[in-house]
Amino acid sequence: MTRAGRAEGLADLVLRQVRAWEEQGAALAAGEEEGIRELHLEVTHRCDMKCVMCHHWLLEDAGPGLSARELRRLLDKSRLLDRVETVVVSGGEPWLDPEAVPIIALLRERFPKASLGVLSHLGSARLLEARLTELASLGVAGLWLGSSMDGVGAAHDRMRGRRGAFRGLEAGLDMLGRRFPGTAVSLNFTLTPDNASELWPCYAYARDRGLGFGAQLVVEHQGLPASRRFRWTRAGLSEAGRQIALILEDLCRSAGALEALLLRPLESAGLWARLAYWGHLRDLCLGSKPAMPDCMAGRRYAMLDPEGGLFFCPVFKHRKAGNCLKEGFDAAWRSPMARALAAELSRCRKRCWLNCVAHPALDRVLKAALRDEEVPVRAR
Amino acid sequence: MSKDPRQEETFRHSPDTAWRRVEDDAVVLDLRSGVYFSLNDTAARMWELLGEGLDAAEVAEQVSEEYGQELSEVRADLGGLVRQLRKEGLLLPSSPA
Ligand code: SF4
Ligand code: SF4
Repeated sequence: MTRAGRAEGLADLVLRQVRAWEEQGAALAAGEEEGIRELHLEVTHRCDMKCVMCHHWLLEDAGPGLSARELRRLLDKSRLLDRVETVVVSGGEPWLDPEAVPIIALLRERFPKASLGVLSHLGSARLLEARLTELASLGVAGLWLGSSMDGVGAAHDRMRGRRGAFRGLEAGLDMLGRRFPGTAVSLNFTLTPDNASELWPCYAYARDRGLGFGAQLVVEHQGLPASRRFRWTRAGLSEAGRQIALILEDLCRSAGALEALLLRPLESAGLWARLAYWGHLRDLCLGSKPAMPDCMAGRRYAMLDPEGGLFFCPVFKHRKAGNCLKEGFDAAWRSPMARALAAELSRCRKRCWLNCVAHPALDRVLKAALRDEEVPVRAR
Repeated sequence: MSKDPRQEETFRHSPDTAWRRVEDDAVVLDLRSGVYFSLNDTAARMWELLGEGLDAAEVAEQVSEEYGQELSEVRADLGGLVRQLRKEGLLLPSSPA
């Protein structure tokens, strides 16, 4: 029967098209050889929080961390990193590392056009202000900042394992607004069975302050210590799925997703990747299979720990592909061991959906599909 | 109140709409109000053909052929769709030549 109506939710409608692009794009991009696009550096294990899902603060034999001198040698000799588009510095708490400023300045110099960001807890406003002032005096510009936010108020403190952590985060955000206005700041929510109901409030908190917002399911780092292991129940996951559905509707409305779909599909690739990410996260919570057909970890994405260990995915952080400080980045990346691991991970069927690894993959398939998309024509 | 289309009647999409296919269906957005409409497969095909300038009789025949549906049924469905789209201001009569 012929039917016209307004029944379908906006997010579901938009996501149907985004999914169709993903499928087309995956076919178009299959087999495309690509270089490394994202480099993620953990500069130190040191941290003054005790987050329940984290292993860094539990590592007792943590060494001094990556030095700017070692890093320069590593970067200077690598050709494989020439086409990197995104560089992310994290830890531990990177600002606690005395080498943080020279390392970030070095990264800016080596990757002048790349998007360069630092993930930290933003909870030490004074230290953060001092480090950013130093970076500004060195002419380092265009840095974006990311932080975890796992609840509003006490809920955040419980996840961070420290009272006052949320107050510290807010003080950090206030300081950034005052002293470094215009700095792009994004909050990332780690979804666990304990804090699923905090997701929407955190999203709204970020939205109302003009901050970016992302979320991912807690990563159970295999082979590494953790103060807690999480067990999801069906009810917990469906609560998470419900909250994500609210976020999807809100994102679609506030970003004008339908107008973008109909009038500016080609210019809105970032929005499609974002919606696709949230859509898959919702479906994963609601019991669908993992969405990543062909994980790009190990092909597009390189992570280095503070000892120079190369790994491809946070879940398999204990499976090192080599050591870049000892072997050099290119040799470690190309080694038979590293390629075998990358090939294994590309077939990985874990129930995983990680911001860091999924975004480059989504971005790639959506761009491939949009290359074929016709420019919309308005009725006259 | 909009009436059933005459068989030779032709239409055009309102310039205040934007639309696209989403899989087999279509979504039509009223750019003035921001209200959107989903059209299922056959409704989407009718919308497409009406926008190409086919008259009501031609649209019904083509859809009946493509979808293997009784012509009388398709005519009735098309009448209902045109009424609804005109009422919403999404479909306008073609300007007289
Ligand atoms: S702030 Fe980051 S590095 Fe520190 S304990 Fe928490 S998750 Fe780990
Ligand atoms: S799918 Fe990729 S990112 Fe996820 S656990 Fe497997 S290898 Fe890691």
